[in-house]
Amino acid sequence: MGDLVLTAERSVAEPLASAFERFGHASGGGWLFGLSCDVVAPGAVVRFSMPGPASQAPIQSTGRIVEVDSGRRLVLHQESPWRSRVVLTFDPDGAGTRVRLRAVLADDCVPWLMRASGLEVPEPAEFGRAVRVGVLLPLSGAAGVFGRAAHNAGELAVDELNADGGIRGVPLRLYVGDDGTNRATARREFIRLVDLVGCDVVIAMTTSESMAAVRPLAEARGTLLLHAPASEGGPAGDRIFYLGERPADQLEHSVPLLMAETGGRGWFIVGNDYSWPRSVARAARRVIDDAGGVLLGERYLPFGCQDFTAVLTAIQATGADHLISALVGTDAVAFERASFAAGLRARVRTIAMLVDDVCREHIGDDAATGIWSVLDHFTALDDVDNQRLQRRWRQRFGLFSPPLSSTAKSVYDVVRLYAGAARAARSVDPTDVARTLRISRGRAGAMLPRVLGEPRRTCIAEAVQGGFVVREAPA
Amino acid sequence: MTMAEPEYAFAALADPTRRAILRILRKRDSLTVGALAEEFPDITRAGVSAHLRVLRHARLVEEKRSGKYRVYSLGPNRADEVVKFLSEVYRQSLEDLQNPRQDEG
Repeated sequence: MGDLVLTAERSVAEPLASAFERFGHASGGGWLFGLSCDVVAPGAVVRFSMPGPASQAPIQSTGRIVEVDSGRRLVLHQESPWRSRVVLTFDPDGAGTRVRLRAVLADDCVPWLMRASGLEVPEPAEFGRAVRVGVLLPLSGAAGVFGRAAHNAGELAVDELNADGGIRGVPLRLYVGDDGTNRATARREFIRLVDLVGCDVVIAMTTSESMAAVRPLAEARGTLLLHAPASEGGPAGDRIFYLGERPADQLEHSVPLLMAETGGRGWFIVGNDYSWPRSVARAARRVIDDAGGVLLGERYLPFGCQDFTAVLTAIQATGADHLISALVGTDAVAFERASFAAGLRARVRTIAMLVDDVCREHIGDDAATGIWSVLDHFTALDDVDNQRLQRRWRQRFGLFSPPLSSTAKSVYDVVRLYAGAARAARSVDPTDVARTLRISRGRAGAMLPRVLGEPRRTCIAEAVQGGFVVREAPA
Repeated sequence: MTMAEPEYAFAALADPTRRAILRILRKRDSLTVGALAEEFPDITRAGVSAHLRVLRHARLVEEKRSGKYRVYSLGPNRADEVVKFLSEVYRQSLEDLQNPRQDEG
């Protein structure tokens, strides 16, 4: 199977140095040169907006600069919604510059665009026995920033499990659907994964909104559906599990700890406008009250919000010392960057509910510094298991790839949890696996608190230059 | 290694000759292998047939019998439109470079 290669060439009147300089700075100068990044340096994350197919919204994309040969060559890896490698070369052309582009698009590109355009994509042929593991995750929309790391985490988990014999000798095979951070696409992709691909399980690393949209579809089909990331949970179902951190797990310890550090009492809550942020707020009101604090205001914003002037003004007007942010993905990125630019970081301390290692990278070192994040996993955790896993991650995906963040780790953990239960059940029948998930010990043991509804482990970490420093981690 | 989800359309479209075949069929509606092969002097007739097999498998082209000939026309799969769109998008990325916005600086 070949890669799709697209090339373009253009001569511009500008001299080479200034043409090169325009990369990442040309406001409005096209989707590629106008991309946003803090620095043009290897490893730097970028966000850009490509034109969408006819009458559709622009395609919000993320990626990473992987090579910079100043004045000569730039290499960029696109990470979402599909993978590509873009090489830009700059050569003198008289007094001007010849710019050449070579884009190598991976095989997820055309199917993604076809589905986004409502076109039918031929489904894969059957090739041998396999346990089909579907992962529904966002590669586009507000939460799209989390997608590539989560996708990689699914691949790593499946590869490691297959190297260890799969499920009783039958290999696992990974199938990924992009939920687009919206209900309609989540439903479409869930139906594809279950009805067309025939997945034995669907792991949802999605907003609870997408999870709520696909849950009735799973119930109607008897699908085993495992929701992996932080969420407010949901009603117990025979084959439906919510495995991530709950808002109360994240806030009960961090809120009083931050108040002790600042000596302040006032809080403000900002979130996207759907069920999880509202649930965060419910938990926060109780925890703040218990800690002797006072809630001074709250605001809920639609997905895709980019103008935070009003909410930043409101936060400042209340004189709040602390903020709880339940914004998701690129909305969290845009808000934290705006917050920093407005000088709020120094005055208002933030507990972010879903700023993991991936999201922190996109907020940027300067804008993120000082944010507290409370999740079950950070790349900086210094236990031996995590360090080994980080090494395997970097060996597999390279230095310039998204980190194994908390949202990604939730996929890794849940794929392993599923495999552990299926091995123990000696079956991939969803009823058998679900029963085993509830009662099993042994391999799935580390995940059992999640399954059994007990408090999830959470760590408190503070964003610094280059990553997080873990402040508190339970043993 | 994890097996990637095989995407026939993608594999079919990754090849420039196959994209050229689709361009020709878009303009000329339906053609026999012989007529198509005339458009590719550097490729044998068997080579063109092999490309058509890949395109048919991806349902990018359809084969119909017309008397003793087989004729080929565009199939129900419209992945070629997506590739056309992509080529345009990447080409544009440099075109904009030529015309810096007036509000710069």
